[in-house]
Amino acid sequence: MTVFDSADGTSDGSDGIPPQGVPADAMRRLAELQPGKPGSIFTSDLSVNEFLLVREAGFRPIGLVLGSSIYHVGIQLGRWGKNQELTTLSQAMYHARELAMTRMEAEAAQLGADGIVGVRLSVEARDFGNDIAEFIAIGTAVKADHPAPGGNGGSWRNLKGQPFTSDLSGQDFWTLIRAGYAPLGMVMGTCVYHIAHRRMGQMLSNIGQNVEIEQFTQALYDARELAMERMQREAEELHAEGVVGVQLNAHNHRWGGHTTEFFAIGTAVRPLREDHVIERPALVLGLDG
Amino acid sequence: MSGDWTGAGLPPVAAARTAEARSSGTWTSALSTGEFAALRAVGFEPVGQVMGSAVYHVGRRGRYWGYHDCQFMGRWLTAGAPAPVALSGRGAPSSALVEVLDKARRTALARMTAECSALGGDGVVAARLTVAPFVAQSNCLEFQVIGTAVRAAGPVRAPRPFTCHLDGRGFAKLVTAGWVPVELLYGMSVGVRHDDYRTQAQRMSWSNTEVGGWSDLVHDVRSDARAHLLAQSGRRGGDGVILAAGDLRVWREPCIRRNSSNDQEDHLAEATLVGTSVACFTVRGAPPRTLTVMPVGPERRRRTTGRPGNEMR
Repeated sequence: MTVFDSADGTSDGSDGIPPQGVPADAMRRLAELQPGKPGSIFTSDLSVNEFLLVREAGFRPIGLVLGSSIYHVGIQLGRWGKNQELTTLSQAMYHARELAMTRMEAEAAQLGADGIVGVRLSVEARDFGNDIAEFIAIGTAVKADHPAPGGNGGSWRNLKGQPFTSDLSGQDFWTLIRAGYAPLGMVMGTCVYHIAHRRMGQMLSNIGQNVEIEQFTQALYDARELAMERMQREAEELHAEGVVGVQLNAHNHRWGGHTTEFFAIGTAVRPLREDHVIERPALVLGLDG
Repeated sequence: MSGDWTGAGLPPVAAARTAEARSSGTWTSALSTGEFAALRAVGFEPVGQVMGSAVYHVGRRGRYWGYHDCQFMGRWLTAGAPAPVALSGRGAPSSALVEVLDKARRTALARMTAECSALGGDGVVAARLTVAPFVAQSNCLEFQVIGTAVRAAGPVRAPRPFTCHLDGRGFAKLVTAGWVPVELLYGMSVGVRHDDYRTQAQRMSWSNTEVGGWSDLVHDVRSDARAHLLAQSGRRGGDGVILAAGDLRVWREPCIRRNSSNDQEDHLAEATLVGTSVACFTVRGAPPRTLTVMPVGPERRRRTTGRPGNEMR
């Protein structure tokens, strides 16, 4: 048995392989190497743990895929003293991410992939100027060794016939497949919200007091609820059983203190079969501090 | 002692060090205890720390050595067609720069593998490649690669040592699962694109819009870097490439083609990818199964979402 864990992942050597066998085999393979044909070599940006686990889950990495979009965000008019969603900015955030994701999925579909694992969707402010950012999606396209068990005609792709996407790490992906679930796609919801400034009278009225500012609380609630609701609607469209690994983050890109993006992202999953069993993990107590 | 070296083989100081290390039988390594144990568990042992270095002079002058040329003929000559992306992989002037940087890296790597062979090693793990400007002269760059040489148990020897960016643990896990690293690879591409009229208009727009030309620029540069990396992996062969890191740098320069009006600018993008090619071999005996464990120590609670793995941008 081998424990794949970044902290103490060594073999305990009880697998019956003579100690000299493995290195000799490895060296023999190196000696036999031929210069490769173009296109016969895959690339992946998975770490070693993730790479081996994805292989063990029954998937072969076939290539690094990415999509990107440099997006200019338009001008939004808003009221200084009013809680409101800034729809132009929300739309920009949605549209640009969609563009990046679609391009990445198109690359994967071209490679004949069944899905994309380890996707990272990020926004980078590069030296293009104000109001312009790069939206980028990077992941590793994978192809399954065996057709999917259960329904869906043995296909790993989602209902739209597109490769599935998942922002889960290789470790989480392996766990998910072992537990009898398959990812359907990344789902996201975003809401750019302007939190109202307080008027002078309001500020003066509670000087020196400990009070809740209902106006601010409500604004944060509204924005988060909107983002999460949109994410849930995307998951419903994919006929998902649920969404795992949700991250709900607030990004304050370059908009100053009162304008914030609330961004919810997760992976929608479906059960591979009705009667799947979730394995009981063994408990370990690490002794390394 | 080092005055009469012609650049072939190892510098005399390095040759003397490796000869001394080999005869004494004592090895040095930068491995942690865990990495050392992992290496020994799969039948490899460290033979010493190895290094390769090369200082290259980039002959041309100016910012970015004057290699940025957008190759845009102007709006009137091209009948309003969008500006092209001048890519190093397609023979733009920057390809000369990519070539010299590639050559410098390979020289440093070759010196490191020469040290490894001199010590009787079969390969290098945890190789780190750094590029730094030489202190006194900014148009000289030092390429340095440093790692730990290891030796396989058994009589079989590979014709050339392997190199990889993986640390001892990662290497051990790969070998256990039936993969052997082949070569450390470095893919790079430089792209230049003139900010044409359309790009300017999209940049100043009042509504949401994608800046198409710049999307093309970063996409083309990243694709070209991937192609460059794959072309390199074909030199020695293998079955796949595991990437360690990737980076994209974007900045702007005044256009060197249209100097008359000062507001003309180009955007430059430089993408780099570092990875190791791996080859698959058949493992005798049953492959080890992964065991699901649930750590119960309080400090073991880690971030469960997001991927801490690689830094790829």
